[in-house]
Amino acid sequence: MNRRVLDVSGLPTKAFGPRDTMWWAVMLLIAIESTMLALLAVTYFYIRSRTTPFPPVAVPHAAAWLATVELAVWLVSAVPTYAAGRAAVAGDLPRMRRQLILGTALGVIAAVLRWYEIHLLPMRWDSHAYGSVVWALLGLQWVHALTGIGENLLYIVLLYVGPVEDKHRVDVEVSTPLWYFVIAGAALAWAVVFLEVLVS
Amino acid sequence: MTPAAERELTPAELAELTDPGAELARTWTRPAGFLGWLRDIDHKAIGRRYIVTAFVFFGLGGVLALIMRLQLARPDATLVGPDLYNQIFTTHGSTMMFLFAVPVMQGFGVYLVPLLVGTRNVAFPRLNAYGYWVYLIGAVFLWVGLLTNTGPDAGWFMYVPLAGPEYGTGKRVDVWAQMVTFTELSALAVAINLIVTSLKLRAPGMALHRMPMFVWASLITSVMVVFAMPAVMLASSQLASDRLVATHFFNAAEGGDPLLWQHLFWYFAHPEVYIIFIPALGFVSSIIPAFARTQLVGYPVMVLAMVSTAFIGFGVWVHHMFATGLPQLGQSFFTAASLLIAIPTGIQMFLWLAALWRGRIRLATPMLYVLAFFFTFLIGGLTGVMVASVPLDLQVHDTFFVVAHLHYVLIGGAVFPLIGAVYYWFPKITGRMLDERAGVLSCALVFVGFQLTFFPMHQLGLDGMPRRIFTYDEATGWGPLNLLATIGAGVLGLGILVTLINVWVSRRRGAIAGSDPWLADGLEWTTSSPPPPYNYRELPTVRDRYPAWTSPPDQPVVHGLGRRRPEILITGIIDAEPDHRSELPTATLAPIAAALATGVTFIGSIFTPWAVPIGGALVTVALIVWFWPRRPHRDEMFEVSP
Repeated sequence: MNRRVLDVSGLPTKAFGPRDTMWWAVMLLIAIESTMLALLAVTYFYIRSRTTPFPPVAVPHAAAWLATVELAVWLVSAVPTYAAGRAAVAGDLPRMRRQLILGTALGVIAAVLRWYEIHLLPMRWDSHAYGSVVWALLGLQWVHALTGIGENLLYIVLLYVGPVEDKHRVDVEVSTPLWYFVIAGAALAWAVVFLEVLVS
Repeated sequence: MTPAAERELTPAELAELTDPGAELARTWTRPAGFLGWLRDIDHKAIGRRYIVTAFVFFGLGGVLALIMRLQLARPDATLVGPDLYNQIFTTHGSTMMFLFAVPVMQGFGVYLVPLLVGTRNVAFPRLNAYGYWVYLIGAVFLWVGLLTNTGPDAGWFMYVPLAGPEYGTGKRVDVWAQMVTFTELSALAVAINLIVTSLKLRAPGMALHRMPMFVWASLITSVMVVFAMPAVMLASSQLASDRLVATHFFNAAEGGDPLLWQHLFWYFAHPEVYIIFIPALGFVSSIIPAFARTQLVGYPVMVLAMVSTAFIGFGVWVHHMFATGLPQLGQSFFTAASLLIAIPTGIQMFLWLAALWRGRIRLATPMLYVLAFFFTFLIGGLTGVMVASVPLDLQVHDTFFVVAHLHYVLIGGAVFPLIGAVYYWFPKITGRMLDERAGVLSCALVFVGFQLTFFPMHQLGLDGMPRRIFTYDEATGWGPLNLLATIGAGVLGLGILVTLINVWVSRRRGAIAGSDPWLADGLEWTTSSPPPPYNYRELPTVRDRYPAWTSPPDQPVVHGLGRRRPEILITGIIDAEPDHRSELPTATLAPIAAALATGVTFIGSIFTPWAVPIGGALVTVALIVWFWPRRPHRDEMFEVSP
């Protein structure tokens, strides 16, 4: 008896980008968390339309400027993150390590700045609805940032301690969209909460 | 690397294949014993657990319904008091929506999608197991609440301010809010799995335009879950934080707004109806070809109809809020959108009728349930068109008319096809047939009982009987129709009981099914019943939509996947061309450990905010175990490893 087969034994055991299943999982996670952030932004504007005067307390310009610096740090962190992704595809381990450390360090600086920003706010989460939604927006996005930083730290440890398998290159590469999402979230939080303060 | 190529096996390779099942079984069978059961990550085991657990809660929710019907059977009844009645109807609604309808549909997806697309497991098996355990903890938590007089009592939609810190005192509403967080987390875990499995794990040749209709339904539903569930997770977190840490999202006195809750809740909860209903469309589209012995009519139109139902489903949530006082333009928009959704559903109805017209119908139980669906869902759809219009909605809002409408849609539209699906796929899942006479009897009782229960409620609503009242005065004249509804509920319950007994008895004593008892068309009928742990000895390839009917005997199978490692084939999204091989993780206790840690976090946070950091640390530990790298394969090492 003969058996016709589709021989796949020669196919690779990894693929980058949308060819990889984990890339899709990361994209769906981003979709879920983006929906959360977007609905929080909607909550903000809903509350804004029902609060007079708005904002009920004046947010100090110092907090808004600090947030602007934080956003700039986030935006710069995209460069080493992109480079780490390219290095992963190219199989350049030393460059992967270097760029991942650089991007993560920038992320840590930005997350610390956020901590100070929140302390500069003139209200707590339980002061009024405005306070609740600002804390929620900055807080949720901060949790996203900490998650991204935590993931990167694990990869850095793995890349130094080993054993490094080929598929870990894929892991590093598919984690870069998550970092871009953190940056986009920081930009959204900044635009919703602080842009108005800066131009007022 | 060489691309995948079709060829014939050499005699030596053929000889090697004489017993490939043994090696595959070693790789894919779960570890033995109770711990092995807890570690299991096979999609069939997880899918079965979802389905069985969901039906247990269906039974419990049904018992609550019967208690309500007994209480309402006559005026001034005293079987249950108002406080308990509030807990009962809230737990009934929450159970049926969150613990039964969504999980059971997703459970069928988890069980069937890998089989239907011709692969060995879902894309992320550990996440899948985690989803189930989280769901189980949340479900038990809600019922422990009810049994300890801490059952939520503000309606399944938990409107503020009734559910807020001012009026919703005690922990009842918190139980509901955290149950929602558990179940939505679980739903999202399943959704991610089903999307990636149906996009990337399909058998070579199963291009998108050849994907089985149930896989389409699961995919579309899962995309809806991804964009709808975050809304209720956010809203329930806001509600919980308003109650526990004194935020003011819904507090009008401090700039919040109770209507914000309604917007966020219904932005989730209306799509939720379609999240329950669209898988049922997939069941109907699977059962009709098998029992009318013909191909579906208008496959691409059907797919587009489901996609547009999902799309429009996100734009109709405000029709639940017509009574809140909206701008007229808003009312008109949401009326139009709500009417619009009847069009894709109508198109599907006519396409199914066309297929039935063309085919030769075999009236076995699954088909009978589909016919019951046609009749009942049509009525539910028509009353839906009625309440989409603002003037009529304002008249019947919060009356039994709406109770009738929603049960016609959800039971007629989703549960009838679901029971049909149970009869259809039970032979595949267990290897045994359900008893056909009991099936016909059950269908007759369920159909008649349902109409007796819910049709009179239309009239009761028009007569002005409000929802969620624990009793009524004799002078209202609502007694006789309520008694009729209660008798109907008894008949309906009996019909469901017949099916449950049928399942219980047939799983051991039913006739042996064989691989394809219905002579059906799908890929799943080409493997044994129940399927082996690895699903297919050799992964199939397909060349059209009805592979079991049309594949030639020499249709190639996939060769060259590792048998000693749990290896699967990843294919392209559009045309399902072979792309690369990928290794799935092995069974582990990490998912259940992570779920327990999640449970500590969510349940503990009701009592102290410290549960969040403590539970968070526990979750982190569980995740580290989860992702701890296995021993590396030497042949897959990175060349410049440290």
